[in-house]
Amino acid sequence: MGHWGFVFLAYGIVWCSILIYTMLLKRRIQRATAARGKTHPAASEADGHEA
Amino acid sequence: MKPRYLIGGLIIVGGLSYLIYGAMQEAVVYFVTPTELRSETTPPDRFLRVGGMVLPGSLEKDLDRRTFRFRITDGQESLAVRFQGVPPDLFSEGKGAVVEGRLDEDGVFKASTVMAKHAEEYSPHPEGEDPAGKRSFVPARPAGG
Amino acid sequence: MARRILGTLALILIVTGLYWGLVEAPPDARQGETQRIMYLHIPSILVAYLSFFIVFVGSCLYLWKGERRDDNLAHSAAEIGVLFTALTIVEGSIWGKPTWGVWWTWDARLTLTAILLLIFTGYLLLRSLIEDQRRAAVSGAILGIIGFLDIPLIHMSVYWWRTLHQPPSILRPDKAPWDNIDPAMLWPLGINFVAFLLLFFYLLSLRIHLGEVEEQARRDRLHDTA
Repeated sequence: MGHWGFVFLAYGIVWCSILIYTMLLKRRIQRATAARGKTHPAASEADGHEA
Repeated sequence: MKPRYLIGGLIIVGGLSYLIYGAMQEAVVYFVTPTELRSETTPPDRFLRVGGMVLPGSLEKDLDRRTFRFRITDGQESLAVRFQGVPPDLFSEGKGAVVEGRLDEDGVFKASTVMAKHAEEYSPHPEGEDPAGKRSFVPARPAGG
Repeated sequence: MARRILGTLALILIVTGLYWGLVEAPPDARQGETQRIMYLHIPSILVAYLSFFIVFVGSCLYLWKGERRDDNLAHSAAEIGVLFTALTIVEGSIWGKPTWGVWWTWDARLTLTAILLLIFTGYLLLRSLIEDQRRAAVSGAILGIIGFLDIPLIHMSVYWWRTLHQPPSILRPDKAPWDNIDPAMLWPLGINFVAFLLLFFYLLSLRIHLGEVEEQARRDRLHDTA
């Protein structure tokens, strides 16, 4: 009656999904900032590279 | 606001309401009780969900043929159910259950699925009664704790 | 900088929550280990509710004042809300199989939650399909407000209709959470809830930032072509 398999399946899916979403979000920010930097090099310096 | 936004909005509202209405038709009458089932003539072979409590003392298990016989009750009427398969963990006498299936000609409900209803209560095993042999949470009570 | 601190705090709480949920918390007397999924399921849906509440507020503000900032807030919250609603359904499904005996059933609460996911997936799709920014924002706001109205229905569904899903353990006026949940389980739940909340605000701030950068890029393009 352990059912640890179900528990690990749920925890695995949840934290992998959240990790992937966070990484995608950061990449989208980087791309948008870089795309903007091509036309406005000064502007991309100004807003966050912290992501 | 331009009227075309309003019209667009209305179309979205209308479409979604229709979808929700359709989906909720089934969901609202999720299951019937044995009393309701008795009071109307249900054609056999119609897919039904019946909900209630597993009548204490009614459960018979035939583990060789994996067949379970029990009665579902709502306090007034009860319905005989036959199920072949593996019922969920929380399925037991005196607990809530919902069965899916069809009524036989002999009045026995042939369940294709048995679902256990769960109460919104959560607690660890009482101390010293941990069947899995895992560590019981309830710690040795610290002084003053 | 503030975002980085928020992210670090969220990470600490997530690790603490994992430890409490998987190790420190006792198995449930009736459900056994499977009950540990509750430490994800309840925080997930509460964060999803919060997301769509923010969509509702942002959408109302946008329709009222027409400021891009409010629309960006609503759009950002919707994206995160969709993620957490989808996770709630997956967690519930994995919990439901061993507990109820089925991965899914069409009871009122599950159906309405699936509709919530459908509405806000539609919201994101709608916004990505409409080129014109203002038009996308207005249609999004209308759909966002309507979509939010599904949440009170989800919450009340277990009282109004017969469902397989049990009544709420946390958000209810008649009983306190500790009447339903043993303190040994309420603590891990609380820690996980705070962890999810911090994570939510971290993701929201990232997503808002993305919206701002995109908005600036759009303005630059307009400026260049003008």
